[in-house]
Amino acid sequence: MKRLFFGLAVLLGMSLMLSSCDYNELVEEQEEVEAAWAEVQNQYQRRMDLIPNLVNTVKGYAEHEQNTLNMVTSARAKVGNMNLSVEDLDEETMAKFQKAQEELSQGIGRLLAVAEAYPDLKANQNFLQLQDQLEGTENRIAVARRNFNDAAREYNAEIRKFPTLIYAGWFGFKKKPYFESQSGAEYAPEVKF
Amino acid sequence: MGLNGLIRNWRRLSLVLACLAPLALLAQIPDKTDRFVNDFAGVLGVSNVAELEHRLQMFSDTTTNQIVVVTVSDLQGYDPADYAQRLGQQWGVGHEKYDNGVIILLKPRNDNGRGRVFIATGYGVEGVLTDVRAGNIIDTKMMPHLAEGDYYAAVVAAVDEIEPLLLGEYHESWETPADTQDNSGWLLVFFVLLMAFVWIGLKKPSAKTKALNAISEAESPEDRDSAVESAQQINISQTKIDRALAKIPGRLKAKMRESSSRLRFETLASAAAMMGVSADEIAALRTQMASITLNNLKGCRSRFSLSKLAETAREFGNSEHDIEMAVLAALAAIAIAERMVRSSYRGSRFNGGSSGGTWHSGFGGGSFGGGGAGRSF
Repeated sequence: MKRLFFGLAVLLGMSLMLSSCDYNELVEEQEEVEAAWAEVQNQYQRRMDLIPNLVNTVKGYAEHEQNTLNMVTSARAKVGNMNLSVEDLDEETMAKFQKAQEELSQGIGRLLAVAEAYPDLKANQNFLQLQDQLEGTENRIAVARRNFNDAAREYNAEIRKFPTLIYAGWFGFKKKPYFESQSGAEYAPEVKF
Repeated sequence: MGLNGLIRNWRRLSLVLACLAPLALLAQIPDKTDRFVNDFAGVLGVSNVAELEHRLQMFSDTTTNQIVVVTVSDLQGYDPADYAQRLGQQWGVGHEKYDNGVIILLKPRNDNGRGRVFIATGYGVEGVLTDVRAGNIIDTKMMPHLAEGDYYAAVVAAVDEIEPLLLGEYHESWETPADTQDNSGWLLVFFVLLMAFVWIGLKKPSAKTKALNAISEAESPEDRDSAVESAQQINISQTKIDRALAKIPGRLKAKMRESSSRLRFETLASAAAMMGVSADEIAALRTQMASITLNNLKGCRSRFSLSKLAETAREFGNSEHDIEMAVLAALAAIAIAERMVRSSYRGSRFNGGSSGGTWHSGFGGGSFGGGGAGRSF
């Protein structure tokens, strides 16, 4: 009798272990998506932190470019209000997030283009350093976005597999959206001097 | 087909091209090598390559920092930053734990366009070799040589600058990888054991089992008699009671062996003498106890129980010298165990290079996050 019960306990334990494997994998992949998203946010934040310095530096040399400066500042403010947690991510919020960031990218691009007309600014040591930092940040954003897309793709494929598909819905595993590459944004926008 | 045909088919052709383009693009990062200097463009000079290779290999061996130089004659449409990052990530340059790899990517000025140079930094070196610093190294150290077309001098100048920076951050040595064990088997065993314990724990012993246990665990004739009496009251058959009674001497001997003090041992011994354990057996146990307690002391793996075990060994007549030696043996074993725990913790995350199977050849699996700086020339 004792032996029978022990055998049953072993069987039960093993079947629990096996069926929980899929679930654990799913959780792991979700964690990866979360980590990748955190890195994306992190790098965008890094870019945002650079902007006040950039704006101030440009201001000192190019006061006439008030329009461009205002555009960057307001785009930054708009981005600053968007703090997306990974749970809130769906196609719609992602599109909004991307649009706001895209506006900021355009603003920065324009600001750097403006600098072309000011030789003193172009030669400014602080401005040169900012350019390197901005470029590096754009590169990091590109990598973080790519990593996020990879993680999301793997996760999305997993929740559609059988038998995960059955319980993915019960436990609230939802499909994650991707970063769409806009205007060849797979590659970091090049900051030309 | 003629021009008209070409124009008619243009849509289809462009569709095919559009599908193929990403494939072609992704296939172009060179396959991983186990060399630190990869002069694919052939602009560094053979003897120079050997010398730099030796230098970078030594730097990697002694500090785990990995600087890899790659020259290509065509970036295949990649942005240099993207190319260098992908290459660093795919090749796994740098120690897996520290991500301390650096890629110096050089595309010489040639028919494919302007010269490009990029210094890509692994996650772990972004702090010491910031984008600004990398840009600065290119501007001040590499550019003068690049302008003259002396690519080797440019690369060496960059390495001269980068090495001390990395050295300030990481100067570890490669450790032999700890055996990475698959823990899932143990997890299963643990789980099954847990289930068994829970089941045993949940199962309430019946009154009969309790009563029979009380008999066989009795430590004095009075306890025994009262246990037998209460067992009889709940109608336990005489054969079962006899079987429980027969267990008493065995249980007493086991308890005597496990006793943690002389006093406890003697109490049990006097009870045993009254409950069917022969005087010879007790005497034999008494002489054994000295070596049993000494062995317990030697086998002790916890600093906290050492003094208690030493006291017990003393009570059973072991000499001070024997006790001291046993304590020293236990302390040495504890120290070794502690060191093993520490070193397995340190080495646990290192996979080793995949090529050749030895840990020091090839790259360590470092990651790149897009840091670094580049210039055109």
